[in-house]
Amino acid sequence: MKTLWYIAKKDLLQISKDRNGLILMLLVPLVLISVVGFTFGSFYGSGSSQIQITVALNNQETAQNAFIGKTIASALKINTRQLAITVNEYRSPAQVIAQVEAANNAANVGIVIPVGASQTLLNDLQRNVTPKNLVQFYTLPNTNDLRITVVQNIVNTVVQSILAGRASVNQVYQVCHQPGNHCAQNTIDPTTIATAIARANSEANQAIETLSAGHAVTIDPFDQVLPGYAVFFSLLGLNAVAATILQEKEDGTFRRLLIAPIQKYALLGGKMLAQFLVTLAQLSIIFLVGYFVFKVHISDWLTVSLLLISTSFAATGLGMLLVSLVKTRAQINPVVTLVVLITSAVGGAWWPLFLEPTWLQPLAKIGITAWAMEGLNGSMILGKGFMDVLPDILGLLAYGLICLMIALRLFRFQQKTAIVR
Amino acid sequence: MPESLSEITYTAKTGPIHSPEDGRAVEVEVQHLVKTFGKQEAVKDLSFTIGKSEIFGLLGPNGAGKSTIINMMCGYLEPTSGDTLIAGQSITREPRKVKRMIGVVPQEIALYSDLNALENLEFFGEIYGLSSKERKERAATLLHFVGLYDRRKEAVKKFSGGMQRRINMAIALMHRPVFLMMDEPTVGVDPQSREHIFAAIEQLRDQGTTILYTTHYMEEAERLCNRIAIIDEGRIIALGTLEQLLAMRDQQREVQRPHGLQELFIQLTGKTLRD
Repeated sequence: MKTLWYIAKKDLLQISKDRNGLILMLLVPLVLISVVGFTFGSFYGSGSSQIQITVALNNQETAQNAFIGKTIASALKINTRQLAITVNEYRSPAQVIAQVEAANNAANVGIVIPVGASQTLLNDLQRNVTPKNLVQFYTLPNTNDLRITVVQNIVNTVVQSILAGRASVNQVYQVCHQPGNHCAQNTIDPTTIATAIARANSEANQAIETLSAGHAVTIDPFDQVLPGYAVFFSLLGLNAVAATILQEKEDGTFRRLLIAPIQKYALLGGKMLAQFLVTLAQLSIIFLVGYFVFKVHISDWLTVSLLLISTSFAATGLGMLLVSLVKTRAQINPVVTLVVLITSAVGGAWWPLFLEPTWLQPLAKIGITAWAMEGLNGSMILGKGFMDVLPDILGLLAYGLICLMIALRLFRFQQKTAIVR
Repeated sequence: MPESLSEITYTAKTGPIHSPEDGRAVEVEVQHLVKTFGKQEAVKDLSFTIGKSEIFGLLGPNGAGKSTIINMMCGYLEPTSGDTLIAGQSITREPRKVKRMIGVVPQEIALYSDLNALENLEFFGEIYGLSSKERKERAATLLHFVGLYDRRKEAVKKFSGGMQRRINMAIALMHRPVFLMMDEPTVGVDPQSREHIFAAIEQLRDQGTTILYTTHYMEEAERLCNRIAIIDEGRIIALGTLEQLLAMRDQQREVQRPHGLQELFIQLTGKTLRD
């Protein structure tokens, strides 16, 4: 055990001599986390669930009794905690279309109410014809934007209210004209009837009681970005694990150690211990900075600490496995890059794992990232406790142990061919 | 005493152990060492002994098997068969015990270039089980011994080749080995450093250290070695003191007496270039 520590201490001493390397090891991840967190914060949501919609409106009706355009424009002016619609009025359909087409999402929806729409509606109702194509609705083609559906529903509700009101008036007249009925025509006020129908429509939502159930998932961008990139960079440290052993082999110091009276496994164990400590230190410092500077949510430090320890162990084990398979430093770089990029992409380093397709989530467990991010997302975003995250901690420890056992079997301490001298 | 070169050569091929003839105790005994790599037999039934405080030279062209022999003797390579005994202890049966008695100065400079001279020495002192006090004292002694005490706090990557070779040697001496193997320790070294290394080796011999010394430089072997073995293709083809080797002649073939060890070496191993 002492020898193992001496070798680890020597490696740590060598690392400490490279001050610039140490600074970059912390600075680069923190800079990237800052940039990504602030740039893509809106992707994860800022914690607010308000839907914001911009509508471009062209109301071509100018007649005094034209009501459709005014009613729709009035109905769209909504500003509540859940929904905010901004209506910008334009003079021509071409301007409305231009707003919808604009690359900067100037308008999500365009509405054009042609001249005479209101009169057309009245005429259709009198003739008992279903009104069609009264309002023109402009959106980008092949879009699934839910905000368009919201606006459509509001407009539909407005038109339905108008139709219901007019239909009710017509019904009253028809009843009056039935044989045996007598109505004083001047007592039937279509406007009053229509207004009553409209009020009834607008008050219908009071029949629905809104209650909450469960706990809403709000993702602070740094709650995802920080652990994701911290794990990503800790995996890039696999290069260092492999490089230190391959460097010693190339320099001849590895042979020197094998000639010394130490056990072979102490040699590898010492190197692994040094790299484990460096990886753990890197992760810990990043998380501490995240907590105090980026205000990431860490309610259970014990759980997060155990996750960081087990992640460091797994990463170090994987590094030892790679160095037992790969023979030169030129080979290690592309291998590490491939492993890290794939496992980070599918493992939830760059977006929450639980947002990935359900079929992909178990497959992602082939890499360390998925285990680590499932635990860290669970603790920091979903508020899971230690027992819920324990399977991820144990998974990481087992992962590291398996890698290490395979590495010890495969690692070649001596060359197989003769040295020609 | 062998009468001719051919007699010695013939004797060497059948592999009896060649012992020091000056009565000194045997410190190192190489017994029928064989090493094959696949179908290639790198070392073929090699046997010899080295006496206490003797400097034993191992000469041979490239590919002769010198490094393979050293690697087997120090426990880095497992022999296909055979053994090496150091002070009566077997390297194959008790490797950790024997490794404490062996020091190896490798041909390549095997140092931690980011660490300074003192840190390199102290690390290997730790590996060999020296206490903190012992490490410090021994490191200081050795740094004086190799003439680098004043530069002990400098990173070894800033040292010249000769200085690095001296630290390379000092590391092998940290644990006071009874048997030191030096694999071409003066390759690429300036004359001053080389002279310093020679003086250090002679001092070690005088202090009782047994030394196996491999080199391509005949003048080194002539200067330092009590006995010299010339090996080629994994076997000893000549062994004896310098005087014995130079006195050899093949009476049947009437080969001219070599004027020096180099000429003898070429006569025995041929002029063909080796890889």
